[in-house]
Amino acid sequence: MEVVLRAVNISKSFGGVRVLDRVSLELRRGEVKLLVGPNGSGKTTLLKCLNLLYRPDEGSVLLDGVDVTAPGVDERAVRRRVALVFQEANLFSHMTVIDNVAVGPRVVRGLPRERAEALAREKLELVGVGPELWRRYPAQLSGGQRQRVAIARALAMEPEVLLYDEPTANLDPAGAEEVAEVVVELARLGVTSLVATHDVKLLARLRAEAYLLVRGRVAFSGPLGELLGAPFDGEAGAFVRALAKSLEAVARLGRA
Amino acid sequence: MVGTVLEYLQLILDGLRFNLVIASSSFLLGLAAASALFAACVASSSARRAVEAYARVVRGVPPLVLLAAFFWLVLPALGLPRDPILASIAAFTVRSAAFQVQILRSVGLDEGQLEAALALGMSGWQAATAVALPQSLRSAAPALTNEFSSLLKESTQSLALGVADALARARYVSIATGYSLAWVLTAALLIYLVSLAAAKASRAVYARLAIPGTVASGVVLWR
Repeated sequence: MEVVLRAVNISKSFGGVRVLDRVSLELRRGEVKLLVGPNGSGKTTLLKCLNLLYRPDEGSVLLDGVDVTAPGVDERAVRRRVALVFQEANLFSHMTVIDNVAVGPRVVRGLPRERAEALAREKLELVGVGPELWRRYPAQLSGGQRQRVAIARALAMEPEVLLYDEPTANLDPAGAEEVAEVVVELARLGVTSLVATHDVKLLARLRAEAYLLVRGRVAFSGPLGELLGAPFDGEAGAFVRALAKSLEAVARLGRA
Repeated sequence: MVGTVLEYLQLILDGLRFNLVIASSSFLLGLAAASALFAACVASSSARRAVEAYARVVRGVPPLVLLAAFFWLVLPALGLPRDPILASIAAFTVRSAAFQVQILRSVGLDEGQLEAALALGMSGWQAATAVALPQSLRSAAPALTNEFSSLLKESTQSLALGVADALARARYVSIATGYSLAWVLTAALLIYLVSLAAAKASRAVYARLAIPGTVASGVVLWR
């Protein structure tokens, strides 16, 4: 399969601190990849660079082979094609569930209201948010429901790539479970995804190729199993050992 | 005797309509202008600096100076008639927009929601008008009511341009009746009652606009 999204040596600094240091990665069409790393390793910054919410200081991002970090590229068109699901769902608090999902197609893609709402209904059904919730407001939903609506909102832009920034991190186990199910189901349906997460249950179920990001650098890329067995020093080592332990603990619980 | 009192009261009430027209027109026009300025502030940092400068200057100028400037300079320069009511509405609109845009900016924005709007591919202006403005208008409703009350009281300064508003008339009546303070207090009471009605109306609007599932700040929603 051809590469949809490719980052080539991107770097990003904030106030003299180099948050990303020559990061490269690639994502093929229909593929799911994982992005792991300690807090503060630059995962969120990387995702925001990939959909141009942040502009990389150096390096380039290629979407379908086109350098979208080149001057003159319409970054809004890129954001539409590379959707981002935030750690906090960040739903629009004054809009109903259906409006939250329909507003992007309506305002950004210029679809008429009926078509935008039909699209929203379709995406909400896809993430398992039923009609009984469509007229509710974000504050009236559970955490898991909110995050699923946020995923539907991203899908309604019909993006080529879906980026997840720790989608289950702020949820209770039930919420995390419902969101993980959606992420796994979308992966099965062939939605090209890059999933940044520490959630061991989600990692175990996706069991994909992973990038390990430590202090803004890619310390490893390859299958998750290999990552867990690889010897690392320092921060990377501590993180990977802890991750492997948690995965084992989850596996043991599953067998018990 | 009673007839004369009623006539005086009628005279003052007739003047109250000037206060109402000036205060509500400049409030609504100021709100529209402030909404556009607010959205521009959210969408662009250079617009934000320009709006901040405008608000700083206008808020520092005494209302009487603005009234005179509009009456003697701005209206003639625009080829408009030198009408005291028109000049008052224009001056107070410009003044109130400066206050109202600061009120809208003070209620706080959810940066995460704005970022989510941009991540969908919205422009800064689209994110500002679709996400930021509707939420800020809701949260700012109580403070905006105060602004209307202020305008109602400031509108009495239009006397400087010859507008015979409720307070101006009360003072004439007071002089005609041997400096009876009661008439001035009557005008004050009328203006107070209008303020009170506006506050009540605003609470009703605020309760209706409250986002379901969230607690509206400072307002008890009676069921």
